[in-house]
Amino acid sequence: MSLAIELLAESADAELAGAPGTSGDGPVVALGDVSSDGSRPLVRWLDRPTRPDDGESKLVIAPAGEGLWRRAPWPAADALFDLQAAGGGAAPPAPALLVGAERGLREAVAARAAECGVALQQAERLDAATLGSAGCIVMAESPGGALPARAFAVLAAGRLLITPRLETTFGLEDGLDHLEFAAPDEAVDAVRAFAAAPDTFGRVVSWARLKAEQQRASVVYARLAEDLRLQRLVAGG
Amino acid sequence: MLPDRSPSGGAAVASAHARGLSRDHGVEAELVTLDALDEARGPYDVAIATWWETVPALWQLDAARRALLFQSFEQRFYDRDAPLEQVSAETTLALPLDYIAVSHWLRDALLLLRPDARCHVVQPGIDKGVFTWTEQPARDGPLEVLIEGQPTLAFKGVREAMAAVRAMREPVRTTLVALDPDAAADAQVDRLVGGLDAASMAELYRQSDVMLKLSRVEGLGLAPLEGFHCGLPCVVAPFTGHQEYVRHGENGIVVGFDDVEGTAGWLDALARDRELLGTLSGGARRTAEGWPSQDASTRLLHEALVEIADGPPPAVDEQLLMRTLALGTTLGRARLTRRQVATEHALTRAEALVRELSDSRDECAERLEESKAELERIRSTRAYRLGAAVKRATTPRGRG
Repeated sequence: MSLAIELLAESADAELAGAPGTSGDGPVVALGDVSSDGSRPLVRWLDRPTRPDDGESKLVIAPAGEGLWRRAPWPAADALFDLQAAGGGAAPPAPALLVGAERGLREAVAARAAECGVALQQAERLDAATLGSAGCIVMAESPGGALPARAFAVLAAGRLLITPRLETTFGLEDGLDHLEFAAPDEAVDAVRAFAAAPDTFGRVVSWARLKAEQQRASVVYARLAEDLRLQRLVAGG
Repeated sequence: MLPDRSPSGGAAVASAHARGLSRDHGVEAELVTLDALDEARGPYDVAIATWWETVPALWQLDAARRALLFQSFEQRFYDRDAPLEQVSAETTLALPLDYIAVSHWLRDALLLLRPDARCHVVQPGIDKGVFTWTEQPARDGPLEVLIEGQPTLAFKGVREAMAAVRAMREPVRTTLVALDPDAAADAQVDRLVGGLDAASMAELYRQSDVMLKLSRVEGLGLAPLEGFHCGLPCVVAPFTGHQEYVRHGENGIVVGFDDVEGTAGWLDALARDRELLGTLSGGARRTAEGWPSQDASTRLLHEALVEIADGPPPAVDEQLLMRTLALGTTLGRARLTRRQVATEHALTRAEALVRELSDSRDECAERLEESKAELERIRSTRAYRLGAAVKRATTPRGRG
């Protein structure tokens, strides 16, 4: 099915936030800072707060910042919803993963985990393969106090999401569908508790998937295309 | 079983069903409140709780079957600082109860957590004689936005709705309808109303162009549905329950959570495009046509109750109960520890400040003693005594 938009994204980001049928001739939506090869995407969907030099696109979506058209994290690719959820009865114990753009916070969490003897693998970048191999993901970033752009991919994959305290949650509820930490100690405690008894967190993971439905990529991009038409931002609207 | 007699959406649904069961189905239906348990007559074929705090009271009644009118996952009404309420509310999902959910998503979510739960779905009905559409003359003025919700309940998203309206560029007039308008006196709206009966609510819906509801938690969210019956489309956040009746671009607009800019943009677009507003209004009325009436809803409830009464008693889900308690303990302990650490940190800091003040006071006293000694030493010098004598001799004495 064509979603009437053309999505530009790096392959790792497309695995997390893309959708089939977004390579048509419709308005161009560029994900993150992907190069648009000189063309001017109608929509730029950033994974970070806006900067003064983000003037390339008419319509900017981001989790935080000024001058936005929309304020939102990235969608979650439909395929992620089909992964076997972490903490499921038959699933083997999966490692905990530490990612995030806030290097200082990431290193503080990693250091605390090492001191406590808690296994926590670091990855520079989240992609579908690393996401699929992990049981819980600590995202050491909160752009402008907001939920990280890739957070819904983690929820859709049925992984336990652990983030810093958030001011903007985009509908998520701490303790219900994800866990928040105020200090590295708390993040490490949560990882340790999950590793000890992943089944206990089954309810959090179930709610995570349920909440991720609002950001299911096929729904979000179809709605985006419809919005551009209804708000007369593209020809034929 | 109601917690008390105070008005609420949940109590209204239960009360309407109780009246309908008595009137149309020959059921002896009683409403009992927690503070009047001794007035319950019993024995009952089915005792039904409507709020987690009323569930334990079911076991104080002489009842053959026990059920929960499941209107929300009530642990969501509490934030991270209320872990005990959260876990208590959540344990009701594992108890030996039959469940009567007010929406399909509630049933589906319950079955995710407890696959063997026995759960009927009875969507609340709408009084089709009161919530009616009448042709309204075309309006050109400011967009009339109706915000529904109690601002003191953060999960109702009223503050976010007011922020979105403030961010609009097109002319707008806002009305906030709240359960307790006295507690919403600081709301930044053009008009604040509350305590309205159904007929007045219907009139308010008919006077408005669009309902703005940015709730984060709902079991269903009846207000937009009532609005649909009056031809009022909605702009909503994707709260749990909205998917039962809101169709984006057909009878309403679904905006993102926390998206002030996007919501304001949509309201501006609707203010400019009255044709689109009219299309959405038509879609709202079509959705309303398919929604059950109050009578039809109570008929479904009656069927469910008969099935519950005739069926075997429900079992407890021990595994879910254990997992709920384990998770609640883990999260609750972390939160209480966090608060304890914060309290201890504050106490330590307070003690340090007291010590600092105490040291400072001791230092002041020491300095004072030193100053006094120095003064005495100065007074005892010959030069001082001589100077004082000269001063006494040269100072004129006052009269009288």
